[in-house]
Amino acid sequence: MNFRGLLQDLEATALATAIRESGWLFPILETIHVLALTLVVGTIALVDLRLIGFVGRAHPVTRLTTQLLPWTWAAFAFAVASGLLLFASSAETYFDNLAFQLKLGALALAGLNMAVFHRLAYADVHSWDTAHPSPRAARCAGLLSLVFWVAVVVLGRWIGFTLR
Amino acid sequence: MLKSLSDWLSETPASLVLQTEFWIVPTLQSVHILAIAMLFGALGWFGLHLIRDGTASPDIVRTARPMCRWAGAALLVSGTLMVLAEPDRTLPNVLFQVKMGLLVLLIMTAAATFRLAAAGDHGTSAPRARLRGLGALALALLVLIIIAGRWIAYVE
Repeated sequence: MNFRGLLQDLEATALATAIRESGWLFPILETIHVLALTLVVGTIALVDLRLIGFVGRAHPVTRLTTQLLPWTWAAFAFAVASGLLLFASSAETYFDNLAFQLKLGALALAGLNMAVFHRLAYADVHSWDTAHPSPRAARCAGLLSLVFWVAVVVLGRWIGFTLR
Repeated sequence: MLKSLSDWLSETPASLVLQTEFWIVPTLQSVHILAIAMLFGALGWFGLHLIRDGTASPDIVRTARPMCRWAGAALLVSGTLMVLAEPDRTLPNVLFQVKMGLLVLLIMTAAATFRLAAAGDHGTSAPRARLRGLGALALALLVLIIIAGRWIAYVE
C-alpha cells in the first residue's frame, strides 16, 4: 500500500471521522493544541532569551532549564497528541498543504538544533552557567531556536488560511 | 450598540485596508499567538514559583515583569488591529466580550501580584497565602482567555 493510501485509511478511521464530523471535537482539540504549543514556545523562548542574554542574566541557565523544561516536555506531549488527532481528521488535505509541510520542517530543525545544543554547548554548561555573555555556540543555538519556533507558530497559523 | 459600532468600524479606511490585504490577518494572528506564548512563559514561570513557594525572588520579578509588559503591549496592538480588520467577527461575539472581561481581570490581578511580590517582606503567612492565590488566579485567567480566544471562531 502506498503512503497516500495510508493517509486515506487514517482519515477513514472512526476516530478521525468523529473529529471531522463532530461540531465540538475539532475546536476542543485545536484549543488543547494552542494551549500546549504556546506553553512550549513560551518556556523555550524564556531559555533562548536567557542564552542570548536579553533577559534573566541573574539566573543560572541550569536553574532555568530545570524549572522550565519538564513543563515544556509535558506541553509538547499534549501538542503532539492533539496535533496528530487534528491531522488524522483530514490527513490527505494537511499532507498536501505547503504551510503544514514547512511547519513540520521547522519543527524538525528546532529539534535538531536542540539536540546539537545539548550535545555540544550544554555538555559543559557548568563552566558557563552564570557567565555573561554565554558562549557563542549557546547564543547561536538560542537565536536559531527562536527563529525555528517562531516559524512553527507562523506556519501553523497559515495552515488555516491555505487549506483547500 | 456593538453591532452598529462594528458596522461603522468596518467601513473606516483603516479597516478597509486591513480587509483587502490577504496576508495581514494571518500575520496579526501569528504575532498575537507569539505574544501569548511569551506571556504564558513569563507569567507561568512567575506564577508557578508563587504557587509552590508563596514568593518569588526579586530576580524572577525583575525578569518576568518586563516580559509580561512587552507581551501585553504586543497583544494590545495586534489585538486592536485584529478587531479593526474583522469588527463584525469580534465585537458582537459573546466570547470576545467574555475574553475582554477576563483580560481586564488578568491585568488587575497580574499588576497586584507583581506589586505584592516586589514589595519585599513576605515572611508572614498571610502575604504568602495571598501570593499563592493571586498566582493561581492569574494563570487560570490566562488559560481561560486563551480558550475564549480560540472559541471566538466557532461561536456566533
